[in-house]
Amino acid sequence: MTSPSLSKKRGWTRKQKRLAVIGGLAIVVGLATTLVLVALRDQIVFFYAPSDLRAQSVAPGQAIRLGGLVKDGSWVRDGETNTFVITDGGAEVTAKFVGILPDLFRNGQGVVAEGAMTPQGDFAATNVLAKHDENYIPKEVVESLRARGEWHPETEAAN
Amino acid sequence: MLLWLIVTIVTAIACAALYYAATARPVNAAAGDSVATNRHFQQVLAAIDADRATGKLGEAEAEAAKGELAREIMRHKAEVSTTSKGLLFGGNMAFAAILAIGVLALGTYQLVGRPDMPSQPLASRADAAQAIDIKEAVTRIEAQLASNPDDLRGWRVLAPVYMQSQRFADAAKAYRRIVALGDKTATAQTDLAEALLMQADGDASGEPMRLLQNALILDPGDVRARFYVAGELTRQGDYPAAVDAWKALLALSKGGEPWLATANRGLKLAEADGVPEEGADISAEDQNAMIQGMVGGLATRLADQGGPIEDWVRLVRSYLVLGDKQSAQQTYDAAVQAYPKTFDRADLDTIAAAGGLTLEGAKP
Amino acid sequence: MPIELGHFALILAFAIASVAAIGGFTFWRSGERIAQFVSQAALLQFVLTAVAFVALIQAFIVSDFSLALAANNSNPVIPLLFKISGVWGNHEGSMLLWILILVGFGAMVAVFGKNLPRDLLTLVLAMQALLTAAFTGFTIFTSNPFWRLSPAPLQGSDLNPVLQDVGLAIHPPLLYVGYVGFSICFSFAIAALISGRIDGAWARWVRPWAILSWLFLTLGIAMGSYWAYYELGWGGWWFWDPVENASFMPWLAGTALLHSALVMEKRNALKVWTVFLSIITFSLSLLGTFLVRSGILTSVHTFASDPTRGLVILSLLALFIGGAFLLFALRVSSLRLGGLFAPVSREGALILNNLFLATATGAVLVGTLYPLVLDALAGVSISVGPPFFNLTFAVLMSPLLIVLPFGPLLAWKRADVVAAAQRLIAVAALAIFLAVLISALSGVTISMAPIGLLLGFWVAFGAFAELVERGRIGRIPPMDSVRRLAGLPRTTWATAIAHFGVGVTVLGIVATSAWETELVTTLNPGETTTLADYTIAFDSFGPVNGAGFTAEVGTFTVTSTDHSTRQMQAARRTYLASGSQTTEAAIQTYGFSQLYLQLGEAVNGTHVVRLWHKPYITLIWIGALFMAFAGALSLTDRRLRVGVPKRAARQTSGAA
Repeated sequence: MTSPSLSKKRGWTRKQKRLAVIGGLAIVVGLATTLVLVALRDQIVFFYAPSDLRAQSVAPGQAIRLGGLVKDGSWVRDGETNTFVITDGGAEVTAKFVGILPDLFRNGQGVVAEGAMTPQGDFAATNVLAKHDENYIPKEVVESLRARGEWHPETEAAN
Repeated sequence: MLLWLIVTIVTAIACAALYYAATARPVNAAAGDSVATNRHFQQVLAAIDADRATGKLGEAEAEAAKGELAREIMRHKAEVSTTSKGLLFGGNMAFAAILAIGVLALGTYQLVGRPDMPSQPLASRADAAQAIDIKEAVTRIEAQLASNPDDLRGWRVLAPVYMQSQRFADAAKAYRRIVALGDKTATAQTDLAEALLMQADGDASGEPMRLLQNALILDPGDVRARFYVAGELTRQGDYPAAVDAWKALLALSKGGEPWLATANRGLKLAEADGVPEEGADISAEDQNAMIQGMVGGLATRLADQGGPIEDWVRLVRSYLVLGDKQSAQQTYDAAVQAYPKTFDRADLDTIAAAGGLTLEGAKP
Repeated sequence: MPIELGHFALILAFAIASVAAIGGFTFWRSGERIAQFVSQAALLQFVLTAVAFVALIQAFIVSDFSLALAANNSNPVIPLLFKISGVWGNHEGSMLLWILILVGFGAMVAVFGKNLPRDLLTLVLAMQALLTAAFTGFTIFTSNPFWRLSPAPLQGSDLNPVLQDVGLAIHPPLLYVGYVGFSICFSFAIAALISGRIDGAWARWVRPWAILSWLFLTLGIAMGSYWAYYELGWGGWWFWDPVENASFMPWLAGTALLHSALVMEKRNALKVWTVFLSIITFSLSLLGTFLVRSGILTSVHTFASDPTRGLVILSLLALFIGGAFLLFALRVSSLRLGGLFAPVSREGALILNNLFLATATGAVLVGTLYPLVLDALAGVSISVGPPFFNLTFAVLMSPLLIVLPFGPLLAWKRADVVAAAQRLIAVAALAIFLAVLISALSGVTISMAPIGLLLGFWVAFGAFAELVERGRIGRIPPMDSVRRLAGLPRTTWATAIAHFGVGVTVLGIVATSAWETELVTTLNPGETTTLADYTIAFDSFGPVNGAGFTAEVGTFTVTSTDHSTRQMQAARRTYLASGSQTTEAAIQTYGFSQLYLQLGEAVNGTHVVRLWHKPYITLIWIGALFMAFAGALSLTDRRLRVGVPKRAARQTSGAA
């Protein structure tokens, strides 16, 4: 925006120079805003609970966050592949994750998994979050559980 | 009182320092202009020359910059000369200010402070010494056992501590280890069975029952084993066998044992095929038992499902009223496990402390 | 007694700050006396808050559980260092640390600002006192670290094991020094707006504070990034999570402020913008400290448990940030425009710098706040993840990196961009050569990596172009060049080193993103696996006891290409007091690259390990260290200091 030819021209008035600078700034800010908005539209990741997935279909391969509780006794580790069931009391989704699960990943514990649905209807997790606090249950999970009446205040007291 | 004295002296010193700083100065020092501003102009001027020398500023631009600087200096001078002096901060104002500080500080402290509370470093607290010692000892023994799991003596020390602090799973593990390490006596097997049935909330079916019966073969006079066997048979509803078991237990009595009342009640219950006597005159003791039964309901619910801290407080208080300090202690320990943050159980801690309960070994 | 004395000291500091704020704003025109009053008040606030802080530390060291804070965040069995760092590992204690640093900066202004115009000094210190009064009041009445428990519990609950780390002892204080330091710039901006005197001199006085805060913030962010990298055990060094963004936004705005204040100091231009940046930087710091740390951002419901606290902190933020912008809006028209310059000039380049840094700040802000706003307005839960930030940030930073080497070579007011470009031809050629060479050697397919490398090398080498030119390297005898270089002002060196640091960090980011290799596999003792020229053998697995925890430790032997072997130990710790578990990753550094090993929980006696080879990852933090060092170096330049005797002025003008 500040090309050398502009500045070399003599006889620009103060006002014109100022307008050139401000115009250039406006163009850059405009482009940046467009970039942010476009990126925001394309890159945001929606949060789903297992019941939501049953109610509305999500295209396989689309990045989503899936949150709920790890169903008791559902976690199986076979080599480096982990399989577990995420439930919100209403529906269940089988999730697969290759790698090492976080320290606080436990049966019955709240988790948020990032990843995408497979065409078979399973969830392929690329990342599993269980925060580093044993009392922590992700906010979205709490809300979706509360909405389904699966939320017990006495457990909330410990939160 | 001493605290208030110190606090007042500190306030007085701070206020004096402020008053002196404000009033010991001549009032007519230049308010607007300063050495630093003039130095800034000199430095900008020097920088213009330096930049011109290194080519960072063209000849014409340097002249323009100097012109701008000159105009800036003149404008600044004009500004300073017209700046009006505002209100005067005199000695009276300074005095009012320090007065306000004193009142605000002491008043606020009166409101939120706890001048009555002394510091209580743990090392100087008699009540703490014991609790900490046990905890440290457990930690130390656990560490030793981790590296040398065949140390029978270590497990023997640790197992009862686990039982006391309601860590039944750990206790069962420890007793199992003791049995595995060669101690197959009746006592050892009864200990293990006891830990297992406590872990299962009193359900002795399966392994504990087998262990208890084993123990009775080894030592028919094992009172604890007989007691648990009789209780379990009653619980399972095998009343004829239960009657025999209770009788066998009572036969071991020399009179005056603490379990005697329970055993007699158990026998009656088993003889009546599990139907509690009705219409019998309710003695004071039975009344107590009834209260205990109701308390027991709350206790079972809390043990099974947990509950709000208020319920735990109610249960601990009930036990203390009944004079059952041991159950109160156990409940308190369980409550502490459910609410590890001191903050959540301020009331509970107060009641517990008043009732002479301790916090030892409560934390897993 | 010590606890209550500490409590009173904090309350007295609160009282002094309140009165100093009121007095300062009422009598700021009256000159010497009020200036002395607020200066003395600033020193007293610092001394008293320090006493309060020491009292807290002492109570933690002796495990005085009659102090609620110690009962909730300490334990007799944890090591001394963590007892001390536990003081600020929680809301109340960290508030006090925040205030201590705030009054520390205030005291520094009182000490070093003796020659400032009286009205400016009074207003700055009055503003600092107002901040102190507000946040000390908030602490005393809603988050008092001195709350007592009676009867005192016998046992403290444990400090969160993740926080039992040297990182916690150093990281928050560094970050806070960075955040809070910008309060001085903020107070200077408010003072300037009230007194109406905004000129080059103002920028000269603000700039050292901005540099000081910026250098600590740089260290704090780098340290936090490394801490998350080795402690969380996920192998990532930057997650774009709200807490990180909260520290990054003030850094971006602060970086912009450093550069715009330079223009204002030298050319008396960009005045409105610099004042605006001073306000925005500290506002973002406040946002970072409180909005995020208190959990509003990550969880709107955290405050449900204590609505008062949340409401008060929100009102305080609204008051300070909103008040500052209102004042700005009211007074901005009275600001006079400054020196003239052509679009192509040093000023123009610095405007570009500010433009991109400011838009990047905006992008991060939008990405961080958008989920919150959407949740509040539409009730839709979304997350804005790394892809958004990576994309927008890369696009916004690339032009900045392209023009960066030009900046220091351009003349003020009107510059010849062609001449500057000519001086950079060698740099460009070298950068292109290296980028192509490395990309060819490492067999890169179609990706952005070569462009990233090119930018990194361009910035890193371009940083020294000015030194080469001013030292006339290659054109005069080497010894003369050395003498010329040694005689250059330290700020010139600082600029070069800081820009070099930016290049180094960019190279580290590009290298580790493009060539990182990862392996997740089942590996049991006695087995061996390979990753990127390294052979990793799982030697043994067994229990180990540490201070306050037991651990299951896996020992590995790594053989590199030159057949040298090294040991790595990864562990899973179980903390005795709380029973919680943590993963301790093993990290082995080879040159600038690292091997990162995470050991999974043993299930049925089998183990899963996750291995990363992270080429040149340490460059990321080394670059940050260069930047921080450059900040420190420029602070030692005499010309930045306020109130140096005239003798020094002559020396510097001679040197320059």
